[in-house]
Amino acid sequence: MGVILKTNNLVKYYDEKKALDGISIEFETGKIYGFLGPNGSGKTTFLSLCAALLKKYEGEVIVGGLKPGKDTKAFVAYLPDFNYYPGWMRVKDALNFFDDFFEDFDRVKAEKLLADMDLKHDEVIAKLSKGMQARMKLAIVLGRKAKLYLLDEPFDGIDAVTREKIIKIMLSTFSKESTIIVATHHITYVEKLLDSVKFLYKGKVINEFEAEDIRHDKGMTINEYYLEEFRDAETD
Amino acid sequence: MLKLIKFELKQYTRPIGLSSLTFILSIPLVVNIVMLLADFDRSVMQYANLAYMMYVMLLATDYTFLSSGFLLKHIPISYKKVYLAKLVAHLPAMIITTVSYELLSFVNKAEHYEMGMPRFADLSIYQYPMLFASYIFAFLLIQSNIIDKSAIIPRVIKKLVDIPLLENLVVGIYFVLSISLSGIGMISFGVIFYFAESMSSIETLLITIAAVILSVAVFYLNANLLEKSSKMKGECK
Amino acid sequence: MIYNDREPIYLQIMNDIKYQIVLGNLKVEERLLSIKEQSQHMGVNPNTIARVYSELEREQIVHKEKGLGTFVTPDESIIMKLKNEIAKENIIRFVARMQKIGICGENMKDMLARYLSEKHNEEKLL
Repeated sequence: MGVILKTNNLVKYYDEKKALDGISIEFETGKIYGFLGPNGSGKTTFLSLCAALLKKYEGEVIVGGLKPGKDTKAFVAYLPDFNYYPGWMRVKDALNFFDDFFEDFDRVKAEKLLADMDLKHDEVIAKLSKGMQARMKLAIVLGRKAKLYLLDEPFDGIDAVTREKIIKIMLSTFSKESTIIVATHHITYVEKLLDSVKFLYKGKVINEFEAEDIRHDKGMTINEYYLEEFRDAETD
Repeated sequence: MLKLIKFELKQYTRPIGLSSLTFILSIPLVVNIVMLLADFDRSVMQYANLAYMMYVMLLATDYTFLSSGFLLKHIPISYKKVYLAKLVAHLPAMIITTVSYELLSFVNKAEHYEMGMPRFADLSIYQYPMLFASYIFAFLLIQSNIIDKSAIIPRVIKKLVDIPLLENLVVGIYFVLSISLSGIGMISFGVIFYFAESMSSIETLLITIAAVILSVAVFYLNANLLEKSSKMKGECK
Repeated sequence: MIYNDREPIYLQIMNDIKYQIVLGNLKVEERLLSIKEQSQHMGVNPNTIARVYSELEREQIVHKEKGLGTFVTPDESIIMKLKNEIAKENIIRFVARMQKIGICGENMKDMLARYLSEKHNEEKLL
């Protein structure tokens, strides 16, 4: 098991605002991580930096042994928390796009995932319901055989059925050679999904642990532990 | 690379719900021919063509770029290649506007000295490089919104206006104005037309360069404003 | 089976599998779902499932055949042992609950014996 992602004292400013405040963490291959924290804690900023979508930062970020850049995009799959497809694109256009520009894209797999999610080729993505858009985005991104998946709030605004389907396809994609990082504030949905958890609060990682350890040592759910930790953090 | 160009072309032919390359290709030619045949007032043709040019530049530099910007940020291709592909994909638009302008020049050559209108024929040496240059600058700079949004932010505007509502208004107006002016030919052409009679070639060229530099500044600020305003839309994670 | 998120999930799944074996729902030498299939089926992290299978193998309740999968042990004595373990747990729970309400020792045994004979008679009548 190697380390796929490592950051060293990562700091990111937006103007005068410090969005990430010295984050030094590691992620190993073959695990599913929860990157948990409330809105505004810096999750999207962190993932965007690792996905090479933001360029300016202080400290170190090493993805698969490289600095984030166009080469890392070839094995890192980022799922943003909004619909990033231009208004004219249909499902088949998205398929073609990923097929054209990502070498690790498995079209057969993606087609199957789309079929599982009841998505038709001709649908205009922007016209789909929020739940269907969420399914579609994820199906396409998971169609890539990436080494690192960065999923930003994949559960926002979707119903329970979609959620279950999404979890199922996440698990079907998972392999020992890949790593999934799920950033979310919907912790109850991911309790059984996660190997390890990192808590992010106001740009700082305030805790890291294995999911089962919390259950074993404290008899708490991750969510309960989260509430406890963040309640304390707020009163500090 | 080819795939990128193909993708850009696909986008370009779908601007703002309107449709196709045919539309863009044929309109100025048809309109110019019709106006010629109908013996339209030359100044009407002039304004029609200029308006059309502005439209194409607006289309090319604004909507089509922005709509794919974020998606293209994800692919493992250098931004330079992306810009290049966009430029190549917009060659048809550049050619069309140039062609229609050429038509305009052709139409306007003889009669105008008597009518007191600007001498298009004299200007044409500078038009094309300037047109292309401003196009290229416009494209490259609008794409600066692909680069990290925290590069430069229009602090000037921010400091000038503290009240949020007013700030949004100012930002909105600025945005609209700068997009309108983005057919940077408009500024320089207007200046040149006005002074054409009395200016030497060198002066014309200098003003052209100044106009292009101004357009660079306008676009750079513009691109960052766009970033800022999209950031303001509630992405606070 | 709904898993409680407050206790280690791998333990709960292990107990569940042991129970299914004792019940006979999972038969001797039966092939368990692959780790991937199981994780998708349960909506649980595959590393957790892998841990379950490893632990079960350590306890010799299952054995892994390379390339073929994970199979329930053919050893009836191990299954018997499991049964006894579960039985013991049930007894411990029963006794604890009875003691909590103040019924102990001989009293408990009498009540149990009476209940069993009543039940036996009912079944005979049916």
